[in-house]
Amino acid sequence: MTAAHRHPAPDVWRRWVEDPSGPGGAELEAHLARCENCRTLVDGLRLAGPARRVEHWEEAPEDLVRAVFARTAERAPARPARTRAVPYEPLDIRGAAIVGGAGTRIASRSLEGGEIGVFVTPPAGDGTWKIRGKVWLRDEALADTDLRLVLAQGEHVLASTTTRSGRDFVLEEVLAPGWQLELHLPTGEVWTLEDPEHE
Amino acid sequence: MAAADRFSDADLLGRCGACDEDAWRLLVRRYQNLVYSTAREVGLDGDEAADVFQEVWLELQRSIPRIRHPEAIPRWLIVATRRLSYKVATRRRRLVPGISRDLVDPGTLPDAEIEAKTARARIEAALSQLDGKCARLLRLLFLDPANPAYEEISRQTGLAIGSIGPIRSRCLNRLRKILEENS
Repeated sequence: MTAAHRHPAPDVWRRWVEDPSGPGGAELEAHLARCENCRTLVDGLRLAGPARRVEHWEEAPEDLVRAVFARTAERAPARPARTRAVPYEPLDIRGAAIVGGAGTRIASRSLEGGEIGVFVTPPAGDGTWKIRGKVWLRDEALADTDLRLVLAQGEHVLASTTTRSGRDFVLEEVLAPGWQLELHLPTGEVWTLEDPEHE
Repeated sequence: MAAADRFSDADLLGRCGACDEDAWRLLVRRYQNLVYSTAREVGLDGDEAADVFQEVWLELQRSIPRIRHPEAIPRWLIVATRRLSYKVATRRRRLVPGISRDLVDPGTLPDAEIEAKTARARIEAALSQLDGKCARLLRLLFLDPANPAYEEISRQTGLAIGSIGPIRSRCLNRLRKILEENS
């Protein structure tokens, strides 16, 4: 307690808020009951609560924030697709066995409008998964149409690219188990291929 | 404080999805320090953290239509920042203490860490809507890890020790009101 102000120092209250059963707790509680000034301080400490546990807090440089505004202004936010996601069905998988070395797996699906197949190669040390694949559409009118591929993990879109029917595509990304690869067709339909390790 | 600052995260995300650039800027401003601090905390240097910072916001922009729990946007940002920190560190073939594959898996992120960082981000966002004097005083009193005594707070703020209490009370009331409006 500081002699000049007869109130316990802020640090004393900090310790008390974190552990009211510590030494001197009863005296502090009694003081708090008759001291509005200290009650306000304690209210603030409680309001800050878990935020006080953050050890590292650093302001983002302003030039970085401005660079984000410049980059994101160039592109419109993604639009929700008119999705009709195709649920995973084991019968659609023509090959789910380990192929080749290093844990590469193949997964492919045959659907009414075509087929999609991928080779999934786990990280070789840098944490990056490689997903190589190909899409075939039966409708020849769509042969020269760009098809959007989206690699997602829950609520996160990790990467996207475009491909065309019959062409190879490659996506390389750091992934946790449970990702999904989506093929967005011009019709609005979405084919979804789940992580073959996690299905 | 601009009235436009007073949107919940869900409001802001909804507006971002409708191409509202002002809402996007407010959202970035609200959580810019959360993203940057998380990247630096895992051990990235300034250049690496800058790369991650850019990538996180681009990923958010791509992902907005998928976000089903807008109230959990701080968690979303922490998860993305950790994964991208790992990606940037490994791409540069740099061994960074604290960087491990665990950063990629959201399941390894402790709830207590999310709670603390979310609380800090929300308080910092609210403090940024206060006037500078109030924000400085409240940071020193409630967030400064050095736990400064009143004499030090007086020295740093230029406030007489006797006036700290009444000003603190007014500033706290304003902070509480902003936190309610932002929630």
